[in-house]
Amino acid sequence: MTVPNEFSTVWWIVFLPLLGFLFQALLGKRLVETLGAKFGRPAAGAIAVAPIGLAFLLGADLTSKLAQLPEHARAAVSTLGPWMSVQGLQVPFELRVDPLSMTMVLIITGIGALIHLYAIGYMAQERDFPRFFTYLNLFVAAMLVLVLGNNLVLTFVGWEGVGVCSYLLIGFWYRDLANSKAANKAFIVNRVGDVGFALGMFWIVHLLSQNRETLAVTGERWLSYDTILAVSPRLLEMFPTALFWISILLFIGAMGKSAQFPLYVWLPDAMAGPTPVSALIHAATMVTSGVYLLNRMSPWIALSPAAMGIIAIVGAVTALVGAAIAFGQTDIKTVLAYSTVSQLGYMFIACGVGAFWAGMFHVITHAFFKALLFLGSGAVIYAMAHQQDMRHYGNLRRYLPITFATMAVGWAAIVGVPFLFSGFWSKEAVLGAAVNQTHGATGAFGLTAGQLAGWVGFAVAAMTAFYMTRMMLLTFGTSEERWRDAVPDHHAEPVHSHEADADHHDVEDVEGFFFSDAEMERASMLEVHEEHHDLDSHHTPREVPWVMWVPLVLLAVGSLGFVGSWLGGANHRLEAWLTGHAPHEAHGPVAHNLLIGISALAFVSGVGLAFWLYGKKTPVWEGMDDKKWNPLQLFARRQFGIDAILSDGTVRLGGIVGAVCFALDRYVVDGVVNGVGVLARSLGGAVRQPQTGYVRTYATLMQYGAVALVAYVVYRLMTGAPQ
Amino acid sequence: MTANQVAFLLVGGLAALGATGVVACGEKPVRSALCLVLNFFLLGVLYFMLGAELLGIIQVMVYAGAIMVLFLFVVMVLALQSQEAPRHKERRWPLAIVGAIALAATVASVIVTFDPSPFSQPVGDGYGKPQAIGAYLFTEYALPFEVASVLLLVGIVGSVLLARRNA
Amino acid sequence: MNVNALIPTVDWRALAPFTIVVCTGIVALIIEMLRPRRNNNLVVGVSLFGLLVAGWSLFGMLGGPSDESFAGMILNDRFGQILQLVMVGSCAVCFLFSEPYLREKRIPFAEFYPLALWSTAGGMLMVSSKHLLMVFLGLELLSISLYCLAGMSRYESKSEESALKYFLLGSFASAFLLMGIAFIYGETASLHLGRISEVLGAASASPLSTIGAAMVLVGLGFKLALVPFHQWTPDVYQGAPTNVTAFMAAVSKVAALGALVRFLWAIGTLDTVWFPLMWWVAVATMTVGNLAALVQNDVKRTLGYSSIAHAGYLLVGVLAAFSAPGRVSLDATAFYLISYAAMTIGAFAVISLTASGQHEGTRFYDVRGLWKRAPWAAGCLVVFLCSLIGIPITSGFFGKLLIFQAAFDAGLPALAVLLAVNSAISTYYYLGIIQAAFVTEEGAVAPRFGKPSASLNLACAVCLAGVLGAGLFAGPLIRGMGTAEVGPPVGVPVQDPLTIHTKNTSD
Repeated sequence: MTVPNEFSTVWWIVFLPLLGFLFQALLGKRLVETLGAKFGRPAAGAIAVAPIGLAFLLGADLTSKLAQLPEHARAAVSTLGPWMSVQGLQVPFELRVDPLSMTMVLIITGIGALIHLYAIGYMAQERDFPRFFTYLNLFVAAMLVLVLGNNLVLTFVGWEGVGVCSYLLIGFWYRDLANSKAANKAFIVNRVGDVGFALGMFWIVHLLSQNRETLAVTGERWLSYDTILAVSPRLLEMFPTALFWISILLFIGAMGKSAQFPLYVWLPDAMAGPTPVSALIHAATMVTSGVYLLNRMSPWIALSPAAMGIIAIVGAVTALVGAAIAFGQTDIKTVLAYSTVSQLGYMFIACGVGAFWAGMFHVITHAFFKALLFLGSGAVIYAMAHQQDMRHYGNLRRYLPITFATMAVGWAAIVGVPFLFSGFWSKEAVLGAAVNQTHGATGAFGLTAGQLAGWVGFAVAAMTAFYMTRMMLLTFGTSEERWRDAVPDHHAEPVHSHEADADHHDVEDVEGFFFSDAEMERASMLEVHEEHHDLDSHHTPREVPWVMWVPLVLLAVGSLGFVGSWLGGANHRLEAWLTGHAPHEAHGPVAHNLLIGISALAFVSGVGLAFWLYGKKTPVWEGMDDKKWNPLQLFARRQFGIDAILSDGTVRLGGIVGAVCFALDRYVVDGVVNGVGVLARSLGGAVRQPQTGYVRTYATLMQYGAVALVAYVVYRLMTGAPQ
Repeated sequence: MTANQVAFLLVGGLAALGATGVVACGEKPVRSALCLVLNFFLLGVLYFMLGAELLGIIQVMVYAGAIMVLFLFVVMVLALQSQEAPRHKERRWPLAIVGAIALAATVASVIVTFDPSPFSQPVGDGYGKPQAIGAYLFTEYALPFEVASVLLLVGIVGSVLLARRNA
Repeated sequence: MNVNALIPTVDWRALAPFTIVVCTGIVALIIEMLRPRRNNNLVVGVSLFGLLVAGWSLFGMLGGPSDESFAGMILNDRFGQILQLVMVGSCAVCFLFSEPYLREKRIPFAEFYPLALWSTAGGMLMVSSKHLLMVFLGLELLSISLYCLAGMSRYESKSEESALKYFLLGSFASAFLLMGIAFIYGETASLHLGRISEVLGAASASPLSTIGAAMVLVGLGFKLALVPFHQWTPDVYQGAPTNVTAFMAAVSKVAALGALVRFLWAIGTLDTVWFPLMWWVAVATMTVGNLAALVQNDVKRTLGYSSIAHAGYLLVGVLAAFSAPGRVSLDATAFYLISYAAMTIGAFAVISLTASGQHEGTRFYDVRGLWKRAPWAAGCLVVFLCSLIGIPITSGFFGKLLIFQAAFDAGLPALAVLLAVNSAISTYYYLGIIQAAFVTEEGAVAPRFGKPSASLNLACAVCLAGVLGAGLFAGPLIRGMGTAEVGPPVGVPVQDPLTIHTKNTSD
């Protein structure tokens, strides 16, 4: 593929955030110390925002250049140099400029810049300020590598890179064990998906390298998208089974990153990180990388109807489960987390029915309105002394008018207020494509899997309308100001948790990346000590500073209906842009107007029910007393036990398997001689003691190992003579 | 069965018995050491039977002589301090014996049917004579010879290191 | 008899690295004797200088033609040179952080340096010889030094225990090795691997040497800590002083792997017998190592089990190279060895900080808050553990990727899948270590740490550069190593590896 020079600037889109990262890591702390906290932090923040903003401008420039090219030629590869060349496989440093990657770039840098700006205000009290922006800039760089890389290895590098950044940011307040555990959980669950990704990737290499002639593979860049996508039609003829399994493996990878059932369990826990992180990573960008991957590989995946059916069904189950769990949540961020899970399910439904572009459409609109909702919730949390429990809110529209107005826009977008807000358009595109699917894997009730998923999607739309309205009413609605009779609660977001280890003051100063306690102490002395108290009857919520509400307003504008209608309205701009050909009017079994009617019905019923239940005052069955909760909702609040079964179960199972393995390893010989007693004892707790194994035991085991080896070769000799 | 084979079985069997005795008499160090002497000596005899006189002589002199004397010294010194060796309830030995028999049986199952004649070849000029061994040690095997000297150095330094108390 | 006819050709250049390392050890010992109870800086300096010279001489030979000298006892080829370089480098990095550690633990023995040098020399012999006698001597040189070093911390019973355990079991394994060599000699009348391979290739069935081969594999498997000969590893790793553990984990494993590769090459024609055997050994090694690591609560033990698992990964790479000769080379394995050495030594170097004034705790809760005392080292630890997990950009990722691809290409997909699953499982315990190093619980008593010295920070930096550099420059590094071929197994027509390579790079 030729490389038009005009696209080589794409490298700077990656380099700029990387430079920002290096600056924050090496000089950020010094800058803050030199200028003092008051000026230093905004300065460091501004320097963190700048590269993201510049990258956005660069991306916009490249997009406009790309749009000028004829439709079939809108793909370019810019190669920096060779990277790996092993056993025939060549993996260069190469970036891909095409409609899909540029769309993702604009989302990541555009929304990323706004969230960075917001974070300057939100994290202003944080003494570890430069470290936060170090991770955040690194995340943006990794995410850009993910979407821009022109081969699966580079995508995987970005894939793991965003995973690591997410790990670091969830555990940002690392001194708190719970955060650290949440970070671990996120990382480990993601690794499960990564195994699928890696296996799929190598299967592709294997397939292509072994069948170069028959597949007419040119060149040795077997993992580059131009090579992979070019061979897909021939692949279908020759290896349909391999095609199916590779699609499934890549889908498993996508499931981990994009929090699909049952691998969604990490996402709600990930809310332990600072709110801007939740908005950027766990709503707008990183969690959509699974959708990106499916889009990128769509020419492959679309060839396997069975895989597509599985994707659609998993998406539907995810949407349903996420929405159902959100019914019972009381933490404002957790509600949003489950709604993210549910919306990601929509995107997978779209991919599963072959409307990949609709999945991307929902990625775009969701990025705006979900980032908006998260940032809005952050503003609320900020105003409410870091209390996240909605049962302590109420009537906040009086105190936080801007936040309320912007969040209302976000709410209208997610619940799908017809025509006026962006969410409606993308949801219509997804569900319309699903229920009108004509060919696809068989589902049930005479419907294809995709159609089934689409109808589930409509039910989920009604549920979404209900729980989002509930969230808004609990927070901003009614005239109760419930925080006034709150008991101070220490489970709030731990901004001050770095005071937790106050017993280490004797530790000397160390120059480094982290702040030592002494430095923390000094910094807090110098600071203007802001009045900071827990929620009590005298608390008056105040509106947030401009750096925080300006992004809110901008995101709210992006969530309005004109964005949706421009992209996905009658002109089908996005579909034409992403698919590269003019869209054909689909004529499915369900008429377009009927769909709009059903949507409106779902919206009205969900919102109406919520207003009826929560409009006046908070019902008693959702009060602070768990015993008064209605059992169904309590069950939902406890996530139907899914998380408990999966996470604790896996951890416990892993522990047991490990313990058995260790015990067998250690006691097998003793066990044989001394009876089963030792084995049983070893399983119960004794395993954790440091063992001083007897050398004779080891020697006996070695001896038996040797016997086994020798006996085996003798057996092979006797049965089948070599050669 | 040739006389050679009878002699080999006799000497080899006795040597194996001696080796077993070393372990079996584990609680009585002097007996154990004497069994080891028997084993070393019989090994020397085996070397003689194979025509490797120099090796046989060295075996008897170095192992049965020098090394065993050292062993016995150590045993006596330890015995003088009259420290009872900690006695473990040893219940693994049947298992070890089963393992040993299994290994021996597996190997034997192949070896008894093994015909060595295709592989046998005439011994070289001056086989087993001191001259030949000397010539090899200073020519072809000069490097292993030197490496062995480094190994001895390591042994010395290492034992000094381990023997030294916290000085 | 004509003695002159027996005089072998001598390639002093090929022998130079070994000789330099041994002589450096002797010089270091003499310096130590002349300057009792002073500081050991001169000893360390001389040792490092000697290693540098040895590395330089190896580097100079890199790229030259392969040859044998000393009647096949010294083999000079790329594979051996690269493995020797890894060992020399590993030894040097271990020396960098040994001095502060030994001082902190009040271990007054500067004999550590000469013994470790001789041990390295033994390892170098093992990988650069095609003669079983030399392999055996090298192995003993390596091992006997290590037995003594493991027991170097005289006031700790766990150190003495580990030394004794290692010694007894090691001798047991050596007996198997020697017995196996004798069996093979009995049939082939040679100890030279090339000759053995010829004889075995010509003969139809060879029961004696097959049994011998199995026994040699027992001996080498012990050194490499393959299941079921791995039991000593966690105990010895835990008991030995941490700098010795780091040395052991890197040098001893590299040497054993090199010897294993050469030996498997020689018995290549018997592969119907040993291949399925080693296949199962690889499966067991990966799985047992990882699963048992899950329930450990001591960092050194965990890393010990993790090193067992990594030996399994390495074995997968070796098996792939042997099952598809010519197509799949040992590049992946050699690369993995380099990255393994860097990340393991780095991790142990950081853990050595837990020693503070005779006391050393390596339980998970003993490393709590390490980042606070030593932010640089703790940051490096994160990178090393990420590399052990296999996160991209670090060399651990590329090592796994290459082995994975090699296994797939060689038609061993089951091994590849197991490798991937195992590496996912391993995330759990590596993250446990990271978590332990960074979390400080409220009100807990902080453990004491030694002050991170400049040389330890330097050691971390070297390992970090290795881990990240090998990841970023994987391509040039592998090309620089050349195809690390030991030569095609007998009887298999193989393309010249060099032509394959130039074709790839010219694209």
